Amino acid sequence: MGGRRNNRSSGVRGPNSALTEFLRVEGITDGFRRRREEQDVAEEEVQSNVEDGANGSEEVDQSALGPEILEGSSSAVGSSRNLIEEEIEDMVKAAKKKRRIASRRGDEGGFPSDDDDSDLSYSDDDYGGGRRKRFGETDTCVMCGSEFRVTVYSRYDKANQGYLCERCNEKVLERERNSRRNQMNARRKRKKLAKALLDKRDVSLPKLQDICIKKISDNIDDVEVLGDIGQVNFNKISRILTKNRSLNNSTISLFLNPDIRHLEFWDCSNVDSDSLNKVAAYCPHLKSLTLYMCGQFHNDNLEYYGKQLQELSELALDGPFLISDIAWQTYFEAYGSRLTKFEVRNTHRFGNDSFISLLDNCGSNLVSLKLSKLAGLNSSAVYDLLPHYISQSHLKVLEISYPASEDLVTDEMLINLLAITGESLTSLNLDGCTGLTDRFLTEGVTQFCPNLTHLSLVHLDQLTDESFSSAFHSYHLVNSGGLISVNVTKCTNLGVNAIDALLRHSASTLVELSVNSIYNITKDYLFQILSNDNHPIKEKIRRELATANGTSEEPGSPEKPTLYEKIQFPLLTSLDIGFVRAVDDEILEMINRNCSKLDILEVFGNNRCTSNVTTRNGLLVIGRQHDVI
Amino acid sequence: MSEEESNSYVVLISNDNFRFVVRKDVASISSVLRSTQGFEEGKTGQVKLDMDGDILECIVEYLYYHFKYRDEAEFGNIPEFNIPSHLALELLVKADFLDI
Repeated sequence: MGGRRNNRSSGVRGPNSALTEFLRVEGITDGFRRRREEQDVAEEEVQSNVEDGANGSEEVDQSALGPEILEGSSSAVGSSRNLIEEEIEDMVKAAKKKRRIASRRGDEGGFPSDDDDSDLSYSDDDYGGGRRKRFGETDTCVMCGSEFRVTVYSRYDKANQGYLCERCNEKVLERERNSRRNQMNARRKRKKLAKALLDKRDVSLPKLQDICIKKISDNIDDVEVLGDIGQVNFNKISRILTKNRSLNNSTISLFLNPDIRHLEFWDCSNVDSDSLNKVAAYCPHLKSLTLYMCGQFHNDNLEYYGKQLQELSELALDGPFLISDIAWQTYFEAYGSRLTKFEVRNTHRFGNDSFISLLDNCGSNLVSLKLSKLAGLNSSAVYDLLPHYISQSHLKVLEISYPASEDLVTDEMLINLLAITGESLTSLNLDGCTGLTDRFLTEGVTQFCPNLTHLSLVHLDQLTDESFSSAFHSYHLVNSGGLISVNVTKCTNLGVNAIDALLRHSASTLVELSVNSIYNITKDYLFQILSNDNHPIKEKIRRELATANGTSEEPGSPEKPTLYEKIQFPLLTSLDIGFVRAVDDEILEMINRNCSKLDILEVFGNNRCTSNVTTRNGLLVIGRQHDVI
Repeated sequence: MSEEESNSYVVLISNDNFRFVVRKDVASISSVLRSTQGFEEGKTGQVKLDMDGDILECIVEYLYYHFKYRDEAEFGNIPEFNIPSHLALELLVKADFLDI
């Protein structure tokens, strides 16, 4: 009986549960099933019927259920039944094969299963018509022909319809492993290419910088190995690591040293909370600390810093959005009195109460206050408190930029504030406070700020040409020193008059200037301030003006040309004149010639600046369309 | 790249007067060295660099390593480039300067 089974084993099985499949693959099913079969024949009948699927009419041939290696497949009694069964078997087999092939195809792109079954030709699967041995019996290997003992781990080779010996199995496994490895490699390569494509660069070798950073990271615990290069260079390295986005929990320890007083980390996004604590633990004498992009800076960190850093008086944090309103308040109440410089950016949790607490506890000590992009600070009443807490003539640096909404920072508030502290103020940054109008300039800045050197007014589109120019025409009475850095990017209503007034006041001291996007500036104006006063065109305008003054003003006469005297820029090193469309090759050449100290000139969006102009050594012109990078 | 250019050389000179004669197309892997060619250094064929000989040696080695393997990068299986640990920090500063 059992022999008959061995001659022709039906591989037909119905739907299986995952567990059955698992047990079968593991070779557990067999013994378990066998014992059960011996005990309970009736149950097996049901089982085999189910496994047969369609073949429900079949009666069980009990003898077919002998103790064999192959588990429960049905067998036929008579030859007629045999035929029917064979037909069904073939159909099911074909369907199954199709399904497997399909699933294999589907697999190719995805992750390979670790299942050895995935190979069609080598399988422990029990269908197929080979004569099979029980475990423990000896058999000849279908590959090498040597005798071996069949075990649970022996592999059935479907192509040759027989078991493989252990050694051949090893070889096959090795082959499979290799092919899988190749597959993985190919996939890795595809991934790498796709990644590089998305990053918009070629697949390339690691940069020397990456290699150095890796070396440094590997040896981070042994600083002596890395060589001593001095504190100045450490600051440089901190910046390089930041630029490569490789400041992390291990590299940070390179910079922690109990002697240092100042520490700047410009990108802490990969530094976790514990490592941030290390900063305070290793450097207890810090006076000034700057942590940018410190998204992992936690309430506990702030508390620990407060306790640990007894001498900390300057704190700058960018993106500390995990610090809650209450934690800020607790910190200011406990340790705020030490702070003289405070800066916070990019957090919605720094709310009205935090700000009041800040002002309450250290407002009068503050020398520098920078608040930028604080969405939680949304009460204009709170902003209005600022002038009341600031000490008379104490604040030197003030930045209030990109407030939550434009009605928060008003002309009145600023005029009040400048009246109190304007005298000491050297740097004022009001970027993006779009609610401000001309008044804060005419009644505030140009009245109360004699020592101002840095002014940034990005995006104040309510400033008008006339008021700005009149404010700056009289500004020399208050501030005779002149401004060093001015940024009026995107103050789009300003024009020639405003810029002329600004330059007449400060050109001799200006080091940095941005007039980006002030598109009302004309080429005529730029030409005149950059050309000598005895230039033929200027002489001509002068004559025209003289004759025009002599004759009475005729209505409808063409507009009088204006004469601008030459302006010298002895100190200007950085100029952004992007999107001032009047700038062309001629102006570029004149700037090149007249601004002897100029290092960086940005001309983005000025498409009439071409590569035809050769600039002097040391002047970097950025943003020309023709530039090859 | 023209025949002439691939055969011409530049001399990189270190602080302590070590001179490294490097093929031009190899040196141009560094954008900084590449752009020096438009200036005085392009005429003389000599580039003075503010670094010590051992650092510069490492850099020249890297440039040739990069030149040799850059086409094979996508196939993987390229040998690792080794640098001495004691130079790592300084080398990082100089590599940042040369943009390599």
